[in-house]
Amino acid sequence: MVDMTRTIDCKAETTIQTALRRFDAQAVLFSPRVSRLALSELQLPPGDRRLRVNVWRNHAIEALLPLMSRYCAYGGWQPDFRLGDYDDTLIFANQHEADAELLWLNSRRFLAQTSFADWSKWLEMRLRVLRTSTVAPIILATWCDDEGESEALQAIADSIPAVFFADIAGASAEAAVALLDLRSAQLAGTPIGKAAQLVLARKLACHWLPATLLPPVKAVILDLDQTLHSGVLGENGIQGVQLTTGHAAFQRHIKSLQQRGIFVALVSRNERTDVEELFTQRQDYPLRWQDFSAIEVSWGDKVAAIERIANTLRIAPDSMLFVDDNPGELANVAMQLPQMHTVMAHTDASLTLQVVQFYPGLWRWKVEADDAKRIQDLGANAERDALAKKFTAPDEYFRSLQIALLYRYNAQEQLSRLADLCNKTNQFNLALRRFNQAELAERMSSEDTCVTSVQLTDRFADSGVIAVVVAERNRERLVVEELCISCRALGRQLESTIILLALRDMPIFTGCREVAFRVQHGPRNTPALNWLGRLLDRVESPLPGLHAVPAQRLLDFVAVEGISLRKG
Amino acid sequence: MDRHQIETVVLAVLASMLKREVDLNTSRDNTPQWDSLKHIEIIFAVEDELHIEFSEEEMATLDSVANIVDLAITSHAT
Repeated sequence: MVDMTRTIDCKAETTIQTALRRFDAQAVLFSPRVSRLALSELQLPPGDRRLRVNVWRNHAIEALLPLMSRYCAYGGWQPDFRLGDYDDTLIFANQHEADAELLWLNSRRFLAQTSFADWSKWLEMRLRVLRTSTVAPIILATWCDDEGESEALQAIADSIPAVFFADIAGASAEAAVALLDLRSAQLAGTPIGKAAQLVLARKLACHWLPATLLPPVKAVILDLDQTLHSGVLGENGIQGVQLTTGHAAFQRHIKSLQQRGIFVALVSRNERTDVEELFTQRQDYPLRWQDFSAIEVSWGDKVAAIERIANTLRIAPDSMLFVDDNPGELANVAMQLPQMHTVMAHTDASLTLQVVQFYPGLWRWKVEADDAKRIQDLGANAERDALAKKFTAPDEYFRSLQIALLYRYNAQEQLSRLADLCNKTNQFNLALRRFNQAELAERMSSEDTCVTSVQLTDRFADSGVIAVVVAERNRERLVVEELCISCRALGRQLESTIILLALRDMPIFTGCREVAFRVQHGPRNTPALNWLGRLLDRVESPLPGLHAVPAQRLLDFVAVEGISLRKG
Repeated sequence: MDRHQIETVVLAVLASMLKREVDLNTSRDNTPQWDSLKHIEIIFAVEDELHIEFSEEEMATLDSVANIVDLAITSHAT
C-alpha cells in the first residue's frame, strides 16, 4: 500500500530542493561575466515542458546548446532542437512539425556573394515560403553590418505574421561584447566569438524563445525589505534603510516593466502605515506607492496575500513572478503555489536586476499600445465600482459610464494584439485554441473565415482591444473556433453584447441557420463555459465539443441599452 | 601562475566539461567523450579561466591535457 503522506512529503521536498537549487544557480546564470566552467557545473533538473524547435542554419549553433540548456532548465522548460544540415539555400528539407522555427544565419556567407538589397529580398521570399508551410512562429536570428540594414530586416519580419527578428548584433552590442571572433571560426563552425556565444545563449533561452513559446509573465510581486532596499524598515527606520545604486536601478527596471503593461504588486510583512509613510518620505525611491496595482502589507501569511493579489489583478499565479530575499519564504510559496514563478533577491541588487531582466516570460518582442493601458484600466475599477453603486438599472449605469464598443473585422494591423489575447486569456477562453499571428492571418484572408476584434472604452479608460472572436463558415453553420475576452472586460455584464454582436455582423453569418461554439475545458476557463451554459439555457457546464444555437437567437438578441456600438 | 596552478585549472575544466576523471595523460585519442563540440567548449573555458587567448594555429594543436598546459604556460608568460 502506498503511504500517501510519505509520497506528498517527498514531492514537497523535491519542490523545495528544486526551488533552492534554482536560487543558488542565479548567481552563476546571471553574473555580469558568466563563467563557462561554473555554468557547466550547474546541476539543475530539466524543465517539464518540452518544446520542439526546428533549426535551419548555415553555421554552427551546437556550441550554444549546452550553454542554453542551463538557462532553459532554470526557466522550467526543455528545448528539443532539430538541427538541419548547413544549407545556404534555405530549402527547408525534411521539415517536421515543431513549436517554433529558428533561422540561424551567418549573413557574411550571403553578403560575400551578393548585395544586402538582393539578399534581403531573397530572404523575405524564403521566409514567406516557410510561412506557408507551417503556422509555427519563426525567429530569424542573424546580424547586419549597420543599423539601417537591421531596420530593413525588422521591417521584413514585421510584414509577415508570426515572424520575429532576433538581432544578434544588437544583443552583443547591448552586452558590450564583440560579436565575431574569426580566430575560432573554423574550429567552432561559426564566426560568433566565445563571449557573444554566452550572451546569445542566454538571450535565446531567456528572451527570444520564451517570448515566442512560453506563456507570458503578467505581474511581478515584490517583497520590500532587502528586496527594494537594503535593511529592514521595522528596525532601521524610514531614513535608515538604504537605497543602494543597485536597488535604485532595480526599482527603475520594475517601473519600466509597469510602463510595458506588467502589473507590479507589493507584499510585505510590516505595518501598512509605516510602508506608506516610507514611500511618502523617501522621494529618492524611483517606485512610488501608487505604482503598485495591489498592495498587501500585514503580518499574515504571504501565500494568502499573494492569492489575494492574484484575485485583485485577475491573474493566475502561473502568470506571476514573486521576488523575495528570504529563501524559506520563497520555498514555501513554491510548495503551496507550485505554478508560481519565483526569484530570490540578492544582497547585491544589481544581480537581482539581472535575474529579473532575464527572467523567461517577462521580455516581449513588441510592446503594444494596449499593454500600457492595462495598468490604467485596472486602476479605474475603483471608480467604476463607485459609479455602479449609484445606479440600479444597468442601462443607466452603462450610460453614466459612457461605454463604447468598437467592432473591427479582419484587422490585419491588430494581428499582434489579437494573438496576444488568444495566448494570454485563460478565464474567458472557450476553445483554448491559442492561435498565433500566422493562424489568425490565415483566417483573416480566407473567404470562409472571419476574425472580429472588439475594443472597449468608457469615461475612465480606454481598455483597448479586449475581445477576439474567430469563426468559420461550414455550409449553413457558423462554427466559433475561438472566443476570448480579456479579464479586464469581465464583470460588467457585457459578454453577450460583445460576442453575439461580433458574430452577427460577420459577413459569413449571413444565411447561416445555426451557430456552433467549440468548447474545450481548461484549468481556469469556467467563466467562458458558464456564459455558454447560460446561452444554451443549461444549468450544467457544456462538455468539450461543439454546441449549437439557432442563428435566429443571435438575430433576436438586443444589446443592453446605454452602450454605444460602432463598427470600424 | 605557475605550472601546477595552470595544470589544476586545465584539469578542472576538462573534468567538468567531460564529466569524468582526467589526468595529465588525457587526450582526444584516449577519451571518446572529447568530441569536436566538447573541444571548443574546453578551449573557450580554459581561455576564460586563465585569461588567455590561443591563436587559430594553436587551437588546432590542443588535443591533449599536456599540450593545453604547455601552450597555456607559454601564453601566460607572454
